[in-house]
Amino acid sequence: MKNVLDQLASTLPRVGRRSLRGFRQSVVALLLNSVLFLASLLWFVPLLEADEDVAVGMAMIGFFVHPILAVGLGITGLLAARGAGAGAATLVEAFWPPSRWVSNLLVASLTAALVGLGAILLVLPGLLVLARLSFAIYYANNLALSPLAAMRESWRLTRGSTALVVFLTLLSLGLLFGGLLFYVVGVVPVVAFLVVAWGALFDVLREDQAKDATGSVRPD
Amino acid sequence: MGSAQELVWEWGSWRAYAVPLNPLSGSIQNAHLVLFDDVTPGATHKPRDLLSADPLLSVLVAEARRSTQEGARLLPAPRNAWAGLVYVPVLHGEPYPLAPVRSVLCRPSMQLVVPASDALRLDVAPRTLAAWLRGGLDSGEGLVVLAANSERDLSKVLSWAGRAARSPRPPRPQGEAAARAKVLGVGALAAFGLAGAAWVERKIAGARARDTSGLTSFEPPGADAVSGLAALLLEELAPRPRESLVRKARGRRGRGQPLAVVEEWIHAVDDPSRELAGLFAPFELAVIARKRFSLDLHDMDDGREMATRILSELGFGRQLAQLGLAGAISQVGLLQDRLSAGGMDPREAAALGPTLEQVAKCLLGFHLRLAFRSDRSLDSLYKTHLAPLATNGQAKAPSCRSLGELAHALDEFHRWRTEGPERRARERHADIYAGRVMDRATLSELARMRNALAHHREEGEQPAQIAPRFLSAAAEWLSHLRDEREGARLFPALVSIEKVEATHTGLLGHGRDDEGREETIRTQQPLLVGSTWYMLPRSNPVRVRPVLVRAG
Repeated sequence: MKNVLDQLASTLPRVGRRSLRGFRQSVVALLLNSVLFLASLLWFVPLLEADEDVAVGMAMIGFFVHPILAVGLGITGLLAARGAGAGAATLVEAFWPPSRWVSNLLVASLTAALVGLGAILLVLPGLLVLARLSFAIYYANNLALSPLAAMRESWRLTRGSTALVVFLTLLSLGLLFGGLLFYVVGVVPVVAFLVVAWGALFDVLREDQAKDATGSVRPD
Repeated sequence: MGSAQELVWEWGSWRAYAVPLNPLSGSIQNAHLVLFDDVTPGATHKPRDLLSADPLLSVLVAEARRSTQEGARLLPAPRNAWAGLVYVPVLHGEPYPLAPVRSVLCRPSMQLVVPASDALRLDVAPRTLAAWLRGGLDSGEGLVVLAANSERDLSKVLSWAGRAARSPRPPRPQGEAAARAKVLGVGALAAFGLAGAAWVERKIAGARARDTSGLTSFEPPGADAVSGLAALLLEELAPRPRESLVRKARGRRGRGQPLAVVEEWIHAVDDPSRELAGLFAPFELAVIARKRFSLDLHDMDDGREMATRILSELGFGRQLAQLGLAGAISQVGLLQDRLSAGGMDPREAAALGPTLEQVAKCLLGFHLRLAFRSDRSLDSLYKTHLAPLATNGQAKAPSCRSLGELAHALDEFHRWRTEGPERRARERHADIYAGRVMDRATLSELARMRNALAHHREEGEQPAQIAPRFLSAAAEWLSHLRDEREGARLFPALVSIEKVEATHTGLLGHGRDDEGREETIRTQQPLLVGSTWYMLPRSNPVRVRPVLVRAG
């Protein structure tokens, strides 16, 4: 417990500082992309009442598009956290080239499958898997790793910080729920902020990982 | 500082002085060639302090400083080996980061060598020196001199040294022709197979292409800000992101040398700092800054800001350095000599590109300033062409203006001279340059040939055919800028003011032009020591009220 508190004390200020700055710098793109992403969820609403054939077709289309938009939103957040000026176009960058789309689809599908599998067993394993694989999209896109390598690296990155990441996942889910309670639209700024925060967390954890590996990130 | 040694070599603002290692018994073998620049007016260089960081360098500098004029003059030119010092300038009162230079050059196991016969040709461009550096690293014997008197020069040479240190070319095996043919045959077959596999992978499977050919051969050379950034990206990115970047830069063409295509991509992006910040995490940028530029950015975590600092070190957004025509002309002459003597790869002639770009930028800047007499003009021509050349707040470096774009800009300027709306500015320009026309066609042709050399393709004209034509066209183009037969020089002399006296008739400035001539100028203009001016002299030995246009 003390270890988790230490990690929180060390990580949260850095993540918070970068998130706030990134959010402030790219607020328009983040809000716009969040709205587009959340609006894309509406695609699935008619499925509840549609014919079976139509529903399957629409679900398939949604399956090929929606996870990639989620990845695009995640990349928007990472770029914003780095101060790299994410734009509205970042949301669709994960679609091109086609190999990247396929890679992102695989990452998202495999992660979802593992999370689902974990959730079937009990809720907690699903949560654990979700937390530990949540950085795979960054590895797949920013570091151009293959889907499996990206998931492996994400797992490795969170090895010493599992409790921290699970806590932050729970916190994020809580914030999302809170945003929903705020007339539903409250979820938009919450999503926009959370994607930046997770992007910042990715960089902070990698920085700590590099420090642990070398004792210092300084070359000399 | 320079008076105690013998000047043996000079190129532009670079100077080389020969000094003995031991002034009392300075033999040929112990001779040292010290390269430095002490001609900048009002220079605040403190090499003694700067170099005290390294014991070896300190000793050598102390020896150099102690040597007498007589001792230096008695010194024969070193013939078999030469050694030297690293001299770096003072930047904003602080010594320029020495660590990267020292880490590359000054370890005993990495002493560098260049042949003394080449070294003492007395007509060496910095880029050639950098090429020697690379050769020295490969040969692994003897000693070499590295010198830089500006951040830009230093980054150029560092860039070369860094590349050479990271990718030493293995010595070519002395194999028989048959064995080589076999290897070539197998290699060609393998390359064909790999190319096919890569095509299938890219086009059908959509998997990542692994065409990394040329990642280690950074040719043709380019050491301006853009190529420095391209080299940084290719060297610092992990293999997979690097492949991804190269593939993105290649675009639909799907081919091209990594360095060349990444350079083109950098030219095309709106804001390189944004791209750099997106490609690396802040802590990675801090490591890069520390490793390559001795910048300590570990207290920062804003990737964009860190990227901007790194780009600034690379030369982005920096005020355009003003160039005298003499330096450019001598560089062409040197390249022509080396090419005719077979001393260089014809593709290296493309190295003249940045110099031509700079000449064209300075030329355009001078004529616009002459016409508009203001740096804050709001007219469209100024905003389009001069402001990007003159401001240092731009996201991109002035060097991002390619030769082709500059030729187009000169075309526009020429049209403005006859059709432009600003009549008074046109008349002001025509007072001096009526009837004089810049040769834009040759510049366009130079741009085309430079591209052919830099992005050589097998099916096109061979570099060995293009290079001589390129160099002679460059010499011709530069000469026509200096030609005074039909009126004032299109590219005026660049005068650096070293001393100013106030007299009852106005200011009397003493300075030196880019060809080394002493100039005395009487003017009402506010001359300052250390400032540089483009000067169109009138025909009197003491320049009385010449046309002066502030450079930079």
